[in-house]
Amino acid sequence: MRVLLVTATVLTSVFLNGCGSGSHSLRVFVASSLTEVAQHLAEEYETRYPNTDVELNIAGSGVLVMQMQEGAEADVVILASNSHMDQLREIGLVLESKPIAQNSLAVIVSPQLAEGINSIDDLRQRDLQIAVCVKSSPCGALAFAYASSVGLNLSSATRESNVKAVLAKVERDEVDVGIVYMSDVRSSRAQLGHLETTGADQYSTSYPLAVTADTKKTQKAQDFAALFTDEAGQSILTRFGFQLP
Amino acid sequence: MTPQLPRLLRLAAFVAVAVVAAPLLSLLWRIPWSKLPRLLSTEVVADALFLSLWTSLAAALVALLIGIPIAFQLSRMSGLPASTLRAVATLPMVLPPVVGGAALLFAFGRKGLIGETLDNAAGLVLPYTPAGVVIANAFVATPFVVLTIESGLRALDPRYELAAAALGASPLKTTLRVVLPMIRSSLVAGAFLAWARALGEFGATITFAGNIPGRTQTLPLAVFAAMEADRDAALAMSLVLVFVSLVVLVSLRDKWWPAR
Repeated sequence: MRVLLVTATVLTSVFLNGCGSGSHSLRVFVASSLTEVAQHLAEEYETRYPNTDVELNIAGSGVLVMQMQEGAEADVVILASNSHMDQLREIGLVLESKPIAQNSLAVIVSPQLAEGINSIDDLRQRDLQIAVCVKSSPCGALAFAYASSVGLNLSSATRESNVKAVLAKVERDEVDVGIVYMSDVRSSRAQLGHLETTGADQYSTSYPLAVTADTKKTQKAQDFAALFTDEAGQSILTRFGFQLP
Repeated sequence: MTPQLPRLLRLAAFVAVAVVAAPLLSLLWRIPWSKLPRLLSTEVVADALFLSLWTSLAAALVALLIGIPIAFQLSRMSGLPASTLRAVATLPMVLPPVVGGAALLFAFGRKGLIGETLDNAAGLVLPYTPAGVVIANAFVATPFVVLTIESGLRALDPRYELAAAALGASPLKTTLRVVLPMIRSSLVAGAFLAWARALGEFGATITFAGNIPGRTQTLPLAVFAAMEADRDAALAMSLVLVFVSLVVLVSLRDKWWPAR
């Protein structure tokens, strides 16, 4: 019985700590394309403010919006498109946001086929497996708009939940071609092919950052947000292939 | 007369049922009932529904073909070899489906051990095809066949088989004419559980077969895709899944485990 009680107490405390954002933590919801940047800046923040833990919740912008609509608590939210941020603004979860970065599309080719495919014509002519983001995500919306402008048929493309999933499939040769962001090309360590003169870079998106309307940690949230616009943040953003707004 | 349960246990059961039922009731509460016919007749939903139906049925069939021999073999083994084989055969049931999907990729993917050979030899590529969906579904559904049929076989009195053999029936004839008819309810239960599991499969499918509308986007994947884009459509499809699964489980009643 005693063992049971101790276990229950431990479990309860773990549970409560895990769920309620403790007073020493800052919960940041981040679009998946910003994964590396957010991880670096979270570390930077924890170095500057050692008493606060940054908890990153990384997912596609659509998933993040859905989680917040269903009541998930965040202190800071960074999405990969203004229209997704608008959805949060409409229901009063954020009041104002500011752009912290820009990103544009890139068409990438798996390491195995990198040598053989050089143009959009090659893509149109050959029967290749393409991966894109789901239409409802920022990268998916851009990819479908781009594909229709160049006459690329995406009906047999697999739709992944976020851009990092697309990147991973191309990197491991599981698909032949992917439509991702420039920042993904920059952060990838694989020997990807990158089709440069396809006009994909004309399709870009803006990353709005917002401190949530009902956060109880306004000061901490603003400190974190400030990282993105100071030198440390800007150099990390450009290092990972983002453009500054 | 059935012996009475302690009052505390009955109370605990009541609370437990409420906990289990609450999310399902909340789902029903959110369903846009009036829009249901329109939502379920859109092309994406109809495609997903049709794909889900035939791939899950095919997967249940594959699961039976793989699961029955394993179950028979298991029913004649004991000790460590039996536990080990049973663990291997039922692992996909407890493994995170994404891990199962990844394992399938390493085996049947374009760069996989078997997949590369298949591709070179016959031009057969399984990932991102409906056949890939069937494989992913069968992979996670097979353990249900193995477990139900093995327990059916173990509950069978060996004297029937011995009698058949004594009367001159070959092992094959005994199995087909005596054993299989006697474990019929386990066979049915195994097949239906496998089918229900295949119908709900998500993780292994999206990892191994991708998410291509009309081709590999099954109902659970369509729900996932629609959760962000069109919540009402997602709820309508969820309702179909809940309804079908409930019908399967209720109609199985106590066939899940063989009658004592």
